[in-house]
Amino acid sequence: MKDSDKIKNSLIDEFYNEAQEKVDENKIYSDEYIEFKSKLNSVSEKMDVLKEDIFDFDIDTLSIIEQGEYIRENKKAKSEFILFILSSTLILSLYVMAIILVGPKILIISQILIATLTPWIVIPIIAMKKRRSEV
Amino acid sequence: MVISNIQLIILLSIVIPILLIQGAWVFRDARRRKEKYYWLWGLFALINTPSNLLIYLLVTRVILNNKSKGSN
Repeated sequence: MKDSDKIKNSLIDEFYNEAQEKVDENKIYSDEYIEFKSKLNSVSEKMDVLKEDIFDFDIDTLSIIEQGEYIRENKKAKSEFILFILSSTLILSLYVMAIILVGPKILIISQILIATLTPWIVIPIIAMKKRRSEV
Repeated sequence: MVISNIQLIILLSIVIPILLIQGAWVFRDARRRKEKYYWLWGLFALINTPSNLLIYLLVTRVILNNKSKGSN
């Protein structure tokens, strides 16, 4: 180990109150070691910043995750709703085109069929599913 | 009964927005109630008014509500 390293180590020990031997006083007052000591002091000042309560570690992670999920869900709902509106506009415009091309007969027949048949199809299917899920 | 073209256009211009609003409301409501087939419910409400809306309300508010009460 070089002589300068030895002195630096002993200065570090002295700085942290761990010195076992006395450092040679003549060498300590040389410019190199004064500069080294000022560096140690500045490091100590920087480390003191961590002691101050500037970092707020009291973060509610669960609520942040919940908030993120809520935002993501909202975004997904919005895009699905827009998609639904677009597809329903397309379906209705096709229906209107069919009515205009074929005539109002298709409107009347289709509406009568839908109004009479759907209750007899949808409600029993739902009731059957309900019974199956209860078993 | 014969429907003229003007009558047909007036009828469609009244019915189409109603169907669109009904379908959109059912879609949103089914999604909010966490129904599995909310897309199908939306499309189902889109094809007829008001009987399909009544069926949707009957199924979700009465039939499936009784199911969830029974399971509790």
